Amino acid sequence: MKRRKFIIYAGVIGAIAGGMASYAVVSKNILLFLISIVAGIILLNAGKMRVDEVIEDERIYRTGDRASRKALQIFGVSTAFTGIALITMNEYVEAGYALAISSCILMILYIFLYTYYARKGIG
Amino acid sequence: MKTRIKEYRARHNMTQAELAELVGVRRETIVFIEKGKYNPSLKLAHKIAKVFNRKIEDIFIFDD
Repeated sequence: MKRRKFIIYAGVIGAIAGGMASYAVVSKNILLFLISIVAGIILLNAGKMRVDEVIEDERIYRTGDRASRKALQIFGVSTAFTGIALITMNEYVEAGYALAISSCILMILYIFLYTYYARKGIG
Repeated sequence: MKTRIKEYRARHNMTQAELAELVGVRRETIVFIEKGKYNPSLKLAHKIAKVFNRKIEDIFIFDD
């Protein structure tokens, strides 16, 4: 399949999976949510394997790496500050703790993965 | 970093898409390399040089 056809295919799969996942959240159906996410990922990867042209190359990976790092920095800092602010102001304290803890987990995960890839070496 | 890819492509009568396919990247990546907006990895630079049967330093001109 050509790349343009894959983009349309990916859009359709994303819309269907996203719609199903949203419905699952509203109807509080965890099983349907998991199925829609997993099915979406499997179908997208299956479609990717059928594309004749190159979809992702080193430039795409490098751009993604840079964007991910920035997103991580912004998200990590903003969730940490928001969580601390909520806890300090005694407003939505549980949400504040959730944000602060998730920010900590994100940072720990980043440090772990960074250490792993630093030792492994990236070709 | 400047490149002479466009010059070598013209010599070999090759389009950007053809070169991209030979070295396994997207056409847009070749465009970015030619414009000097993307520095390829050593591996990719070597592949491009090999297509034109030249050395890397013949294709890519490093600014000192």
